[in-house]
Amino acid sequence: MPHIDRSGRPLLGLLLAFAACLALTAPALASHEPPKLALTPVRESGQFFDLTLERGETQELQVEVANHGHESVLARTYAADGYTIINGGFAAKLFGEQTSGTTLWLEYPDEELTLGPAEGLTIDFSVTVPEKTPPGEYITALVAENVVPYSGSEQGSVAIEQVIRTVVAVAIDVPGPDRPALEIGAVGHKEAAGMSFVSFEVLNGGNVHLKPSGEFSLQDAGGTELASAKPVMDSVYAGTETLLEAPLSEALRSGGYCAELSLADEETGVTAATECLPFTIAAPVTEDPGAGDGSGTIPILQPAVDAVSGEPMLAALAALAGVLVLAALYLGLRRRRRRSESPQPA
Amino acid sequence: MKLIRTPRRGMSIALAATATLALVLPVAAADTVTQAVTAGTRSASVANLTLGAVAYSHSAQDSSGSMTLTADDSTGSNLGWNVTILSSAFVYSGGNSGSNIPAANFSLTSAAGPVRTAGQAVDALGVGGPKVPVISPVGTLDTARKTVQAMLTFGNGTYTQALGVSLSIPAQSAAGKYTGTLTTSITAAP
Repeated sequence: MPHIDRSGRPLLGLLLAFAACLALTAPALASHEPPKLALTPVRESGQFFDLTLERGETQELQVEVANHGHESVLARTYAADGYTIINGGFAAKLFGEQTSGTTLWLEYPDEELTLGPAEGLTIDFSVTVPEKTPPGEYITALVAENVVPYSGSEQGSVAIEQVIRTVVAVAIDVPGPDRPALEIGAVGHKEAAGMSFVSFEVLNGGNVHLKPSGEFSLQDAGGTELASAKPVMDSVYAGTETLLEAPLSEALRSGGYCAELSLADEETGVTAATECLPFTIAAPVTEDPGAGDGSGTIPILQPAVDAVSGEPMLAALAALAGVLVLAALYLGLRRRRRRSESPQPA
Repeated sequence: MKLIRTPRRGMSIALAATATLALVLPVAAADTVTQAVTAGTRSASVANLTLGAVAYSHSAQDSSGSMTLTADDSTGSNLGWNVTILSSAFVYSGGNSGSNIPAANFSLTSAAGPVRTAGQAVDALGVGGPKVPVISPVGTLDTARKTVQAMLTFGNGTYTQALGVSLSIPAQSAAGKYTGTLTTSITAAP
């Protein structure tokens, strides 16, 4: 009669139960997809609204909000102030932030919509340029986004959720003389993730959008050049200010430095430049000597593997493989121990 | 403002062909005005955030990791696009009276060149893109940063971009869960 090692049965049962749990949970995790919302100008040749309007003039417009995903989405659409991001480029402020300036020219109330798969909605709205508006280029934004942040799959101790937005600019040109202007302001420094960032304020105080490019240089207190670059900014919108931020590959030591920047906009010909503007990096504050070095064992942050929409099946299979290896080791050790305990033939 | 509900038949056919679950096609509402086949969409989202494990510490410490941005332009418009990301604070949830981790503690530490997974090739000359902006977008994510852009006549496809990230965890952060909200925007603007 063959020998059956009963010691393996509880382990086998455990493994089967584990596999069953995986089979039940994995499909549910895998089916979730990020929302895919579209915001499309209707009867416009471009992907954003590019309008020329006289002061006092009103234009009726349409935009379509559509769901290109496979699941229904609770969507939100709203008008938001546009602004120039760091190093140039366009962004729209977040939902709920105060609106001002050009955004107030739009009659576009906030709207929440439930859109089924492949369903779209056309929204009528209007733009009115106030009577006493000076000539120039103005910009604001329309946004479509998911109301409930998308959280993807199971998450660890650090997790991210996402608001996924489609942003369309509403650019309005009020005819009149161009008055380009460019100004560089104060220098700044900050440190993050082991790197230094040297920045300059960049102000477009004119009435046309600019795309400045130029030269940047960083020197130590002795006048030795430590870094240089030829930065090319994206759009710096009329009437806005932003930062040109130069990331360095490592953190600067404490001490005195200076940085200079020159910029020019090729299309309008405006230029701006600074001297080498001094700044100081203070010595780091000494840590509390009683703070220790973090030898505690309480795990507060686990790797957020597949935090959004990774591969839950892969993670589960890896865990299953680990359990199987442990089980094989356990059974092998048990067999070896039994052999060593059994009486040896004389 | 007037709202006009618009069933998207062209889009429905495409979706029906690929869906693994049965789709219920939208019922045409009374105020439907058009059934024209329209273009696809532009979209961008982030996935696969990984951050290194961190034990409780009396000192501040950094947790480095990565995430993957996927950008898709199926509009066929040839007009280009930009993607920005922005983080909120990481909000604490748990039973140990923890504090939120400020958004400025979450940094973009690297932005790799985008890789095509479908559609138009990346411009080999590095001009049209999709590409990382000339000035590196690395920096703190408490402000919006553009990580990838496609110029006119480029970016008609699907692309992934590996992003390095780092979360600076303040000293004595309590055990528990920390959840940040990323706002990922794909933008059409001058």
